[in-house]
Amino acid sequence: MNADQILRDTFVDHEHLTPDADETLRRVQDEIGRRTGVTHLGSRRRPFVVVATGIGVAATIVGIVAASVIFKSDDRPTGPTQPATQSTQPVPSGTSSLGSRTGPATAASVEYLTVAAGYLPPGTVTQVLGENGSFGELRNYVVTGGGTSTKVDLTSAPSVAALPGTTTFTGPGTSLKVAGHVARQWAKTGLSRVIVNRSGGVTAVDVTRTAMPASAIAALARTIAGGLRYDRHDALKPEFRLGYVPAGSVIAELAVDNQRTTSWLLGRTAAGGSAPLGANTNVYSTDAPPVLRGAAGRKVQGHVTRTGTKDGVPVLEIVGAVGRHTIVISGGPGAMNLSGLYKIGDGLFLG
Amino acid sequence: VNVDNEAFDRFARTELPRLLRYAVMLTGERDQAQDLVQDVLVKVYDQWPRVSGADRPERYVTRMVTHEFLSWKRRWHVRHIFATDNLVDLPGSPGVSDDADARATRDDLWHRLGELAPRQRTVLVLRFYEALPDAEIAELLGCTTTTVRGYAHRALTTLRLGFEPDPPQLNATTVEETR
Repeated sequence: MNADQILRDTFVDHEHLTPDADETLRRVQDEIGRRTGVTHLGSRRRPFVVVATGIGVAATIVGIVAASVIFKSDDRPTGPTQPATQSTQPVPSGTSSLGSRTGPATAASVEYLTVAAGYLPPGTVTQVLGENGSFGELRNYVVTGGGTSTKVDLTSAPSVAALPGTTTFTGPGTSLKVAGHVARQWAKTGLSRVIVNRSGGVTAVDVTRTAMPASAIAALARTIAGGLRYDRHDALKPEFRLGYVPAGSVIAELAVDNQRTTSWLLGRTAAGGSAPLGANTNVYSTDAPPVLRGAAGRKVQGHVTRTGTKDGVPVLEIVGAVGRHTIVISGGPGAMNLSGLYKIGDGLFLG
Repeated sequence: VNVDNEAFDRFARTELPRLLRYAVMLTGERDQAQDLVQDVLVKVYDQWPRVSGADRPERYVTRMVTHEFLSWKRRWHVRHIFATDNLVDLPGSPGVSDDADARATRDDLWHRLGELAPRQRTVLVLRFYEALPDAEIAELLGCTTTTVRGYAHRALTTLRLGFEPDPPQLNATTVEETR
């Protein structure tokens, strides 16, 4: 057998890893619906994230609109009764994720998340933290162990009505109490949801494990819901911050990875609206060499730049903007032109 | 953006199985593949007039998946390549005659594919799984056919499926690569 055939066979041999198309489509529809304000399904995507070994993050919503902080951690609890380990990184008072140094006022200031799992099943855990202005905090865990994967999604909102909708379950569910809080639960094979009512808001706990019997996954979901902690105060420290956000846009997402690189996504808003319709500009730092072959641009905050287009959209690279990292500002479809990217670059808070 | 939701839904349902399989080959991992395709399809929705108006929308989206994968890797991951001296010499090696050994060989190769630089792996996937000619791969990646052949050559050499010994830069015990 020749090398070509071995490679072909190797690829084909692993087609069984292909995810379920229906579930993926459901997640796509949900994401689109969530971003356009028409939530119709319960399962959210795992936000595109950041590997952040050894760093814990949390955030409280300090206010407002549509920023999201996303973070993934590999330093997970390993025992069945251990709480998730998250380091707390206090944010200096008075700091804000966003500013308005040179442009219009920006959307949200995201510093902390408060709700976290105190119990997760054994295994290796990855974690995503986020905030969405439409409903509030979200925190997604994936626990891998024993040849299986368990997803635990926590969504916190001011009220049940503000939670993302779901068509997965129908009916009133089952009333119960978890850790002294009034709660309601639904379950079927592979999936259970518990909504915990507490003072100041509600938290939905969605637990997913393929083929797990309804009774077993319901018990697991209740245990997780009963172990929720509402006192987290973990902070995220981006490598740089935005000082200018174009009119009609808001910050849709912030991510920081284990190499301390940072990514901010901007999204346009509907006229008069505040929620992003979709990310259309990415501002991120990278320790990779500059990738553009474009022309040298004017200096930004004393740093050399390159400009060009990539995948049909304008790109501005600020070489060595933060330490050895280059900041890349990439416009998206229908987004701003190069002068708009320069405005963002000029407004950055570096270091 | 005006989106024909029904048309987008039909397109997504038709293309999803293929895109998911392709994403698995690129990422080597189920969840990452799902996230990758999900992210791309949301972008497809945002760009639906452009995508649906393309000569070959399915190829357009394949390109989006490819570039999203390469962008992910460049932005988020630092990986370590452990060059070893005991790679299985696959072609003609003894013990691949029965199915169990062949499967073990393929699993080993799958593992080592995951250690390739993303562009090298992408080229192998496009050439051997998608069965695209080098000219199409070059167009999809935005490079020349010579570059494509270079990626493939280095990948096959690293995997010991090809021609020469390890390239010098991989002879070190550990090579840290940003991707």
